[in-house]
This record gives sequence, C-alpha cells and structure tokens, in this order.
Amino acid sequence: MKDPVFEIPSDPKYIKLASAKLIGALKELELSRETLFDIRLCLEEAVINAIKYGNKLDSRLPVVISYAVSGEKLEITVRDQGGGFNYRATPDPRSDTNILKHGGRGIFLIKNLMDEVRYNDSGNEIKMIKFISGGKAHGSER
Amino acid sequence: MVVKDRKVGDAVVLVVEGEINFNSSPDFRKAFLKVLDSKAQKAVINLAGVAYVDSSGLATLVEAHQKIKNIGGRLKLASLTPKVKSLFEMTKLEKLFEIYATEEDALKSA
Repeated sequence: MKDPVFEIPSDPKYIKLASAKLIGALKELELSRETLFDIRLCLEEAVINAIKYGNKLDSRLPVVISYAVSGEKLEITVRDQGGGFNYRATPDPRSDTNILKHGGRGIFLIKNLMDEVRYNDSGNEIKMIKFISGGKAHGSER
Repeated sequence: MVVKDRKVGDAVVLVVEGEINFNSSPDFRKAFLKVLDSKAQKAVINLAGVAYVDSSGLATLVEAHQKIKNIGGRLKLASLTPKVKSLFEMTKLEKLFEIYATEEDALKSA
C-alpha cells in the first residue's frame, strides 16, 4: 500500500469523515473490532486536537492526515497548521488533581492505545504507530 | 445520538443510544441538565447502546457526575459496553463513578 494523504477542513463536522476514510481503507487488513476501535479513537482524538488547538477552528486551515501500512505496523500522521504544543508537558489525567478536569484525556488515550507516539520538533505533527501483526490485532478477540 | 429519559421510583434513567463524542457531547449535556432541572437526586445513565465514547464524552460524563454531586445527588452508570468500560479503567474513571453491570442493579443499589 502507498502512503495515502488526505486533508479535511478544520471543522468538527469532518472528524467522522476522516476516521471513516481511514477505517475504510484498512478493511482489507481484517483487523479486529477492538483494534479498529483503538485506531478510530486515536485518529479522532488527534484530529480534534489539530482542529481545536492547532488550527483554532479556522475552517480555511487544513488538517493533513496520512497513513502507511508496512508488514507489521500501521503509521498514522496528523498535522495541523499551528505553532505546535508542548507535548512533553502533558499531565496525567488520572491523578487526583486532574481527574475532574475537562481536558487532557485525548493525548493520554492515544499514548495508551497506540504502541508508539512521536511528535515533530515543533509539535504540530503527531505520528501514531500501531502494531498490527499477531492474532490480537486480527480478530482473536472478535 | 438519542437520549431517552424516564422516571423509575425516585430516580431518573437516561438511556443513551449512539456515540458520546466531540460533536454529540453538547446534546448529551443538555439532556443531563434537564435531569438536574427536574431536581432528581438519583440518576442512572444506561450506556448499553453506546459503543463509542471519546475524551469529550468522558469529560462530559465527569461534568455530569460533578453537577449532580454538587446538589447532593448521585449518578450511576450501567451496562457499559466492553470497549467503553476499558476506557473507564484506563483513565481511572472507574474509581470516580459508581458503575453497575445492569440498569436494574444500579436502581436496586442504595
């Protein structure tokens, strides 16, 4: 599979369109429902952050999504047009001081549901890697 | 997402069908605020029909929990689907909420 790239405007109504497009493209891999749930949730969380915090809901600015499948892993990249955020300072939403706070769970979920998460230096691009080899990803839990 | 409410004894049960996500959370919040307006002290949210919740949905449920607690009431969650339950475990929200296997269990609990 090549590395397809697509864009959506920074409008929340396109969030599901983005995840449906990715999940549709992964159909042939026959991943389990659980794995597809994780992939969808992480993509949508990354897209929401890009729309809301990166592009500040300016629908003229695109969110750029690309994905690539190698033998054993899926790589998803989400990039916004903003100045980036300090990904090193993401508080633990499980702590007593943060558990009641509204924000902070999106990045936490991505880090926990993906196998690897990386950012570019400026912090406006997130790369999420999910290992998709093995029975767990492919349906032994289906 | 569709939210239906009904009164069972002194409790209000909200049955949610669909997804509680970034786009639907405001509607879910409205439905819950209606419960608070009714002065109900006990609310049960039946999540059997919710297969997908994102971080916005989790945050809105936390907000609902706090709002009812602030007026001396209690919020219980029932019938979480396995993936949604796993998100509650991962984020430790299972410790914040009273979670029951079924709506009936939630209503029966003191």
